[in-house]
Amino acid sequence: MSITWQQAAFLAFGAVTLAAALLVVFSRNLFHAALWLAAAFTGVACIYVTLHAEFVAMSQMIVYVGAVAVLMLFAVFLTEDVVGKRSRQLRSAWVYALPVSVALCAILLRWFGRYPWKPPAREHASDTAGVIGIAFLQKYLFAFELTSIILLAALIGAILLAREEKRE
Amino acid sequence: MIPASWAVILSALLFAIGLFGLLSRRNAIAILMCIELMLNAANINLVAFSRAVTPQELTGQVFAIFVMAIAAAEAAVGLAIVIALYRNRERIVVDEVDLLRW
Repeated sequence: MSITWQQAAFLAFGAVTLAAALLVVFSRNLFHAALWLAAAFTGVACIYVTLHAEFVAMSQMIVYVGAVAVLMLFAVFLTEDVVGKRSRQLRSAWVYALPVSVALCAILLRWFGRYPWKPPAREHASDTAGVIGIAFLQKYLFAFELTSIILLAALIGAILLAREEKRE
Repeated sequence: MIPASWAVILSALLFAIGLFGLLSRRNAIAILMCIELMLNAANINLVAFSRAVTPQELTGQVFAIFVMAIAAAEAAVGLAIVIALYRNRERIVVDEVDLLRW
């Protein structure tokens, strides 16, 4: 079986993503963990591109790498003095967490091995952004508006929670 | 042409890594990072099945965008809670924040 360049790209980006995710979990310095998180998000965006999801990839770059990773960095800076770089980063319960995650992964992979995978029956849409936009404004209009209300509520809630309370 | 099974396997591995971090990290910010990793794993699944099942309607990609919006809201509120916790109690290690623990 020969591997096309698309498949090679997918494997490479997947390896980068998994390595970055492992470094997020295991790095002692939380600042480095946040930077590796941005790397993992970028790897996932590249994987979206190889899966013909260009619009989702761009949203991933803007929302995750641009906003969420930067937010994490700010939070790390604001709380830097609490968890020092030398203190223990893993709870003692990690000895239980490891078999749980490995078992879950093994069960999932076993199911995937049994599932009869079929190639897609139809051609892929070429204009992903257009199709997604029309779906948002026709079929999923209610969910779309609901999402904007959730974002507004989260924005207000986050400001209220993080605001410095005035001393009376 | 990438088989859907590859994307699903990658997503399972990423999810397991995120789950391990979620269960074993002590710092609340690191736990939020691991939750983001797990949400990304779910999104890879949605995109992969969008290509395999609905390549013309792109339903999975639409839902991936929804998950992204909710994840951003979750990260903002979660980090605000961590900041409030830090301001009031000066600690963000989850084992030490046990005021409501029985």
